[in-house]
Amino acid sequence: MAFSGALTLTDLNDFITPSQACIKPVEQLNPPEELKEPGAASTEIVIDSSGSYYEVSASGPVPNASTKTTEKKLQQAQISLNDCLACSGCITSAESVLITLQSHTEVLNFLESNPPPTSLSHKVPVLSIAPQSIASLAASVSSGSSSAVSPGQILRRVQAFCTQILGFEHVYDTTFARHIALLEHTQEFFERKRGEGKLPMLASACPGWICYAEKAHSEMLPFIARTKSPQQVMGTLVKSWLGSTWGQQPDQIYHVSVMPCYDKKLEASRQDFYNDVYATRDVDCVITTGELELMMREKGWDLSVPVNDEDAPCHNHSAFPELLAHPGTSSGSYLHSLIAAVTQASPDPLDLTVKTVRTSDYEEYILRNRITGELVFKGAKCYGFRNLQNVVRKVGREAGMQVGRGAAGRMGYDYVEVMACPGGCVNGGGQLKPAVRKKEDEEGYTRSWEDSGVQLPDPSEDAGTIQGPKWGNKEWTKEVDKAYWHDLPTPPASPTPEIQAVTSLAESADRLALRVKVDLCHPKNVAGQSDWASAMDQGAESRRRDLFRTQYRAVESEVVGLAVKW
Amino acid sequence: MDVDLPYELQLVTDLRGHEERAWQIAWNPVEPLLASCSADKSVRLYNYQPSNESLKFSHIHSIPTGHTKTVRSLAWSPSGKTLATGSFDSNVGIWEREGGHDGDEEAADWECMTLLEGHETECKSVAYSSSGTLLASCSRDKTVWVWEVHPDSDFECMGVLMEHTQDVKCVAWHPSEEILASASYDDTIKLYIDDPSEDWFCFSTLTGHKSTVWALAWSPKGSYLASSSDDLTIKIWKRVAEHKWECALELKGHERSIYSISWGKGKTGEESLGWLASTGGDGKINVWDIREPPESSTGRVLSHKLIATLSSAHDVSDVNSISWCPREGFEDLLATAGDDGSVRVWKVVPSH
Amino acid sequence: MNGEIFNPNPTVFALSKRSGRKSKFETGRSLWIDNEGPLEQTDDSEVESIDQDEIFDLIRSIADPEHPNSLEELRVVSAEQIDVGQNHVTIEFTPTVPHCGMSTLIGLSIRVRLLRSLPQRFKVDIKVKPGSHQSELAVNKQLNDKERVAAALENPALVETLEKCLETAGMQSELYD
Repeated sequence: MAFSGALTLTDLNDFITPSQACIKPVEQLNPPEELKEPGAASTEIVIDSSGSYYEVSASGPVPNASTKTTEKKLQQAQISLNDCLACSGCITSAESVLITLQSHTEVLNFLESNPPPTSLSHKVPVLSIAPQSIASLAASVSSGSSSAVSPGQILRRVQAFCTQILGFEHVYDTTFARHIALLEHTQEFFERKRGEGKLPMLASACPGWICYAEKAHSEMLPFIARTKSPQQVMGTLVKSWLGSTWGQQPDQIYHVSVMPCYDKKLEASRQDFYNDVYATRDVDCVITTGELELMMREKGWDLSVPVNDEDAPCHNHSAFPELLAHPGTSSGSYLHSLIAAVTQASPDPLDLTVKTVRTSDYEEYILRNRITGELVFKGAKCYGFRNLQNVVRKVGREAGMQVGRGAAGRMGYDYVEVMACPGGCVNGGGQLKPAVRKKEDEEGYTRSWEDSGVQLPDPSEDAGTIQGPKWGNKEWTKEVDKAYWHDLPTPPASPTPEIQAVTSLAESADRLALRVKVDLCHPKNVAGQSDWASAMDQGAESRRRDLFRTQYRAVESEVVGLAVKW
Repeated sequence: MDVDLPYELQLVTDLRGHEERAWQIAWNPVEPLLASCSADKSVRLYNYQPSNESLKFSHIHSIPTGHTKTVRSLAWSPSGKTLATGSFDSNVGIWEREGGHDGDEEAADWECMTLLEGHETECKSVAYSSSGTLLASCSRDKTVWVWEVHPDSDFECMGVLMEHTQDVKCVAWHPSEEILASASYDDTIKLYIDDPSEDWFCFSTLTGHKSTVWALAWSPKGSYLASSSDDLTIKIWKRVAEHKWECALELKGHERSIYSISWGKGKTGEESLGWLASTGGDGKINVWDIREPPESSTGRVLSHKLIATLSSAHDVSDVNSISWCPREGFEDLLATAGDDGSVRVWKVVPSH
Repeated sequence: MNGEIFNPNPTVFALSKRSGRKSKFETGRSLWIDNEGPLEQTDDSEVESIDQDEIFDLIRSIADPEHPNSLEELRVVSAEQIDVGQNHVTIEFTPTVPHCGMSTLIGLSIRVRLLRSLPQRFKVDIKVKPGSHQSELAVNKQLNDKERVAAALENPALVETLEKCLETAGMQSELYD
């Protein structure tokens, strides 16, 4: 098995699986020269011990007696992630070939070949890690020890590993980038509410969902928020904002992000996040939580061992506020940040009611005016491919795109937090697998989990009972969710004293966000900028859009006859 | 005709009208109505009435469907009021009758109530659960979808099952329980149930066929499942525990792919598990009487007897679909659809 | 992405004489394009027998999807690889390279050509020559799945490519008349 534990196909359950074969043809760079005998194609493909493919002409009368059996090495398929974005062959990235271009090996290779800082061609290596990845690591470490390890402690240990062992110069978590994404996202929502764009607005942070919508439901694209995901905001922050404070150009920084999801690799590869001027991407390489864990194991790093000062509350020297908690969901609280903003903007007090639709992966949130009872806001969180289908269906129907007439009542959502994975981002395809009880795989991976989970237990056992399915381990997802919220109630329902500290942290984050906005957008009226939402002149607004928003485009399918899979 | 069989197939009618290959027929479970679908993208509806000791079939309506490609599959809801169509255009159409109720069929018009989108490629089969509250569909995109039927032709997606590694050819619901079976080009059969607190999931995979499994048919009481394949066999799987099926019988009798099977009650009494009819690329129809082994017998093997057979049922054409009439009193009535575009109705009668 | 060539330098072989007889089933061009409908079958009562040369004449001039050559010139098809029974034809073809990604398309073009030319009574099986393709079973399975074939023929992009392969199917053999 050539794949490392972090990259086995069973791990690639980003929940929207490829359904057709990849149509990207293999380009042959060196046309093989060949003398073919009449009649049968008498060649076969052999694979040598190194895994290379050879074509061998095997039999038949040899035209030239001195010619020995000819072998020629075949080109291996090279498929870039960009090819995948342009193709409708598979719905998401979940194909092993795609992953080699953005892998932990790639990261190690880069670090190894990076010239020393004294060299002009040295690049500053920066790593950003998603809070869901930290939670996955925390849950995994905690399950093996008597006391729970906090996300803060994990962040310190990851920072120690990445700087001391791997040679990264800076390691951040992505929550400040998410803070900006939430501010911009709220801004966009109010724009749409004013009539500048369509409602309901649908979340834009899940790359699996974006990819699926572009390939299968282009009619959804106008509804999807244009705000960049936290990963891509982080890219802008690191390459444009931090870079300029360091005196580095974007191409002088190598930015790696650690994400709970394979599809984030696709997201980082999008043309929209490529800087033509400096020929560089905002995020150069994306690795999953599992790949980070694998690197630690390969380097002999034990994440369960504490590092110095890991309980220090906050690193003052960090460029960003760390581990900002955004109360709501462990997938980024996009819905809850809007609920908070709508509540804050309302002159009258509002009441929130929550209704679970079948499972916790589909919940409706309704805000009503406490005095008049008037409906002010209706939103939903909606996770998993199945629920996503229902959102697509309902939004499409309301927008009048649906053929037929069914008379179902208006869904009437203002906003839907859509995520492709059941359980949301904490259950992303790139996360660590459930912590292992002894009976499982030594490496800590339940590699054959899907098989054993789906099939009946040993027939000699009670055949009348069947083992659980299927999408992922729900219990484990709960553990990761718990680690994500750590000391906070899960999820925090209303502001309590514990959250006071969080609130002041959020305020400092707001102030820094404002600074970032002013630094990057250069509004003419700097003094008039009191918060993220403050209006700016046209030029600055257009810069804001370039920096913090993106765009989507429908991918057409099956237009080349030779490539059609039937 | 083949000799020495106790029954023979008598042609009741030959219904022409489709301009291209007819893929499937479906008997309305309540009313005297037979529907057929075709590569010509239309659905044709026929009613039937007794006439001189036989049945008279008349074409009463054609639905142009609006599907942009072949209409591959048909299914009536158990109430007989709704018809679902699965098309190569990847969509599932839901049809209901507007106006012209009972007795005035010709005035009725069939309207598309809703379109279920979601499959990425050709939809190959659709099926309603026995209660009529669930609808399943499958596709070359390797997925099986389960939809919940809501009032006012609204549907909610309950599950997208990505278990098969290839094209899914057929879905079939258990006759009384909420168990779904699917058959695939990957040579396997998969069985699914709902976990009420979560999603639908596959609890068993039946392997043994050596090529594409084209069709599935549950026995009338649901303790057996029959499957037919490109490997020229029909396998009968017995339910040996609540969630466990084992192969109990293999039938042979076709020279080309067996595209369709149907398991009806038959007319040979309670001891029989019913009549299993099969057809396929060899143009032949076979009818078997299937029985459980006597109590005394130790073997698990079911007893089976070929009771009727007919070659060239649609002349030189492949026969794509076969179906027993589910209505009481019509247990000996079979319909078939062929590559010649025709729909034929057969009666199983004792041989002279 | 159109630069895909599975075998960039195929060997081209000299053509053999055509059988000399004009198959009664041959109409020269793609029937579907010209909308001529299937051949008259009025004299079907007297079942015409067909031999392998006649079948070969029907398919020898089909164009390869990626080369300006016919299937005969590339020795993808040959008369010896055709087996004709009373109502049954089995065609074996040989991809030029064992990893040829065009094999299903070539097989499909042969199937469509025969579908349009032969009387309905013929059941046709199409297979790659045993051992000549790395995905032999998969290719054979797909080519002989009538549902997959039917659906493929409703895909406009694919049909367009197929028609290009079939444009020459009747023309070239007429050169020998």
